[in-house]
Amino acid sequence: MTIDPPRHGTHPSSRPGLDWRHWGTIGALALAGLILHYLIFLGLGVDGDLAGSLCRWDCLWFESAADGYQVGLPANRLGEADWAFFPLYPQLARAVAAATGLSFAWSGLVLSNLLGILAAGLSRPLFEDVRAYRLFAFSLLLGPFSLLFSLPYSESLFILLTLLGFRALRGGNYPLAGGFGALLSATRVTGVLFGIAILVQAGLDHVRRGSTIRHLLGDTRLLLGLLLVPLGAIAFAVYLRLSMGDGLAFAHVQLAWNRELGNPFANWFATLMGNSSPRIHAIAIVVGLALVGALFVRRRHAEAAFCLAALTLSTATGMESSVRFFAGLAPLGLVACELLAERRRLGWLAYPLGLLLGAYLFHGWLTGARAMV
Amino acid sequence: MARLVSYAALALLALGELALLGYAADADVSEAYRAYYIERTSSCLPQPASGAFEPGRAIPAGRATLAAFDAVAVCGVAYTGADGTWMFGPEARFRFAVPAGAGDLLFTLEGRPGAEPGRRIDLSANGTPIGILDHAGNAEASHAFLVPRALLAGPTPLEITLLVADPPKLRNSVAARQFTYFIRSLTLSLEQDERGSVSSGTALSSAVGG
Repeated sequence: MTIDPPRHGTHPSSRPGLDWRHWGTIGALALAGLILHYLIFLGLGVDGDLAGSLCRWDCLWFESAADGYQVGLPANRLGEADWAFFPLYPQLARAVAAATGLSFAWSGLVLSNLLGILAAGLSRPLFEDVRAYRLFAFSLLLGPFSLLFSLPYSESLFILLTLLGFRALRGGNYPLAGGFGALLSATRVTGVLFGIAILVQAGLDHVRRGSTIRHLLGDTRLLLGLLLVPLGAIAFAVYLRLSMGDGLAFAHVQLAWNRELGNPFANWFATLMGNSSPRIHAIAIVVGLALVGALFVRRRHAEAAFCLAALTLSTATGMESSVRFFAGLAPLGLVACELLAERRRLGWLAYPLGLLLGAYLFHGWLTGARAMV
Repeated sequence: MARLVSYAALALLALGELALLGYAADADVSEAYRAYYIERTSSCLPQPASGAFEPGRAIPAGRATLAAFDAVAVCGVAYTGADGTWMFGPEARFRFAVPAGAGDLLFTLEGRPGAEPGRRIDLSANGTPIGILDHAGNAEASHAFLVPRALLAGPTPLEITLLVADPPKLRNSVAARQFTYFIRSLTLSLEQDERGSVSSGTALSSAVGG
């Protein structure tokens, strides 16, 4: 595999977007990922088509949100409704469906794959080491994260926007980072936490420059970036208020999935003891926190703060889906690839193991493994 | 000057966001929505149950007869299986469109306790207590409750409520969302068809099978 370091400009602000060889390799990886997934699908002999088989659990809620959010009391006896699902991904999938005539499931599959290609292709400037970048791109398109880029779920968009947000932050462009933050907060509720990343990065930038706290608080570019972040979530809240009467319905409806704000440690411990969700969710949080520690050690403080806040928030509201939430935090995958790539043998071993893990997770999704939900 | 304009624009943006948040947070919703989702004082999310039923005929709560069960189940039931449905949470309500001029009725509930065996469940008809479901052990049993004709309020359907004793103040919470009671079937009969005459206001509940 040859994903070369960008030739245009100097790292890390270089622009691989102009490098056809780079994008060709990324495209080939994505195609290989699709073929692998299709072979697994064929091997399982699942009824129906690939996209339809992948569209399960929350996918049906995304489809419902794409068709227009519910109004009035839900017919679902548990109180579940599509208000919990932020609009940016379902609306993009709807746009793909309108443009192509495909079903929602197929549109989601196409969209998520395209988002995966963009995420893999545009994340190069976030890496100092090209070997780590190659492993990351491989992980996204063929490895353990490849499942997320096949599902009609919002993780694919969230990962891409997170990477773009941190790219903008690396260049010190707080308003642009805030713009990506606004899109993040229109994608998932944890997107609003990107404001923490902007604040931490700006604080570090100011310390590096030796400027005072007064300068930091008076930085209009920073203030604009911070104010832009919640706009996506606020727009969704206003839409809900106008359409069904409760702007905070996305938060209120979480109870229907047994999610309410509580003690994250107690939730984690109960899961570890096997009292609620599968134990793998508790393990995912431990691995996630270890990788947050690695981000801190590597002075990726903004990424670490964002991931720590997101893990804490999701754990505080419940442990279900922790594996998926953990996998959707791009900086954790990024630092894991850095750690693996630093050790030459481990770095090479990570490719076949990542491929196997990716295939295993895809298989698990198609066969309904609860840990994957 | 340009700096001042920037600050003013940012202040406007911040105020605008706060105003929009304030608007979004001020919900304009039905009473049932507010009680269930916002204040969480009710675990009853009402469904449009018609109340249609056939007097004296058991309504199985299993998947095969879901439509008939849904016609009387207003709220508080979920997780339907092959042979029954769970009362989920501290409260369940059932609606019966009782024919005009009906006399005393007998409400029969067949099932078994869920997460907390032995926990008392109070039954009421149109808001008036009609009995207590004090189900010890895990065995399935049938319980009958007399519904005096005096509780039937003209054309208004009869609504029977099952509510756990001492319900939590926050009736809709993760802690309260429990598998309370497994319902196998419900029956509403014209009382004289079942037992002959029974004076109302005596024993509120009696186990008639097990």
